[in-house]
Amino acid sequence: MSLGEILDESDGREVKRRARAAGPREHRLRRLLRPEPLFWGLFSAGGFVAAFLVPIHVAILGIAFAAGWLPSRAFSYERVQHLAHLPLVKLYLWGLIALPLYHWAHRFRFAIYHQFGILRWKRFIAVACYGTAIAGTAIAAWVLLSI
Amino acid sequence: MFAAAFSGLLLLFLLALSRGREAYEGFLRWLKLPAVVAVFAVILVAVLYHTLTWFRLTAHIQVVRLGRRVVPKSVVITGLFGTWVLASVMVAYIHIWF
Repeated sequence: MSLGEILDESDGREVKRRARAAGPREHRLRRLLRPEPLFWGLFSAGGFVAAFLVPIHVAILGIAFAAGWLPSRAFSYERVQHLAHLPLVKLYLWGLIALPLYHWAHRFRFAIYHQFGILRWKRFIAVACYGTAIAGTAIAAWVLLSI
Repeated sequence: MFAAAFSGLLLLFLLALSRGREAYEGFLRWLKLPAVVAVFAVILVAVLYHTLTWFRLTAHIQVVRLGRRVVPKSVVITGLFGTWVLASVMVAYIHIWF
């Protein structure tokens, strides 16, 4: 099945369920306050960071360092400590670590739903995915603040 | 998924850094193991694929207008890749030589 067909099929199921549940004003208000757009926005930002910044970081930390292409002081303890103490660098690293997690969370949540076809426990899966991303964000902040 | 894996690895790097010199040097030694380099190579291929598809998709969904004319998709993609190379060079400079 192509991705388009998978999405159309599960969308069709969703729309039928929502049409049945349309009702009083309080219910409509709660639907307006849903967190989906926030997570979609974080998904988008995370995807941008993952596309734009992560490749060069992976190439440097993962490949270039082990291959010995870097000058010896590049990863010296003193220099990295000095860099990591700068507030701007901490902020940058926090974004570099945290944002792709939300990209993963949003994409993985819908991969479970659309591609693996697990249509139950929707709220649990959503909480597990975004919760992992939020936990990762908190851990990153804690580690960065303790450097 | 691979980008998130790198997030985890970067977090380990910073954790080792926060624990002091020995932990940090140990982490650097771990980075040189062939198995670890292989993991990073897989992540690199995956995120580069992500970059390619992400820029392609952005050019499709974001219409760039100059006055009344529309910028063609190939130009948008080239612009995105150009900016990406520039940003990568800047990051590499700060990361390696600054």
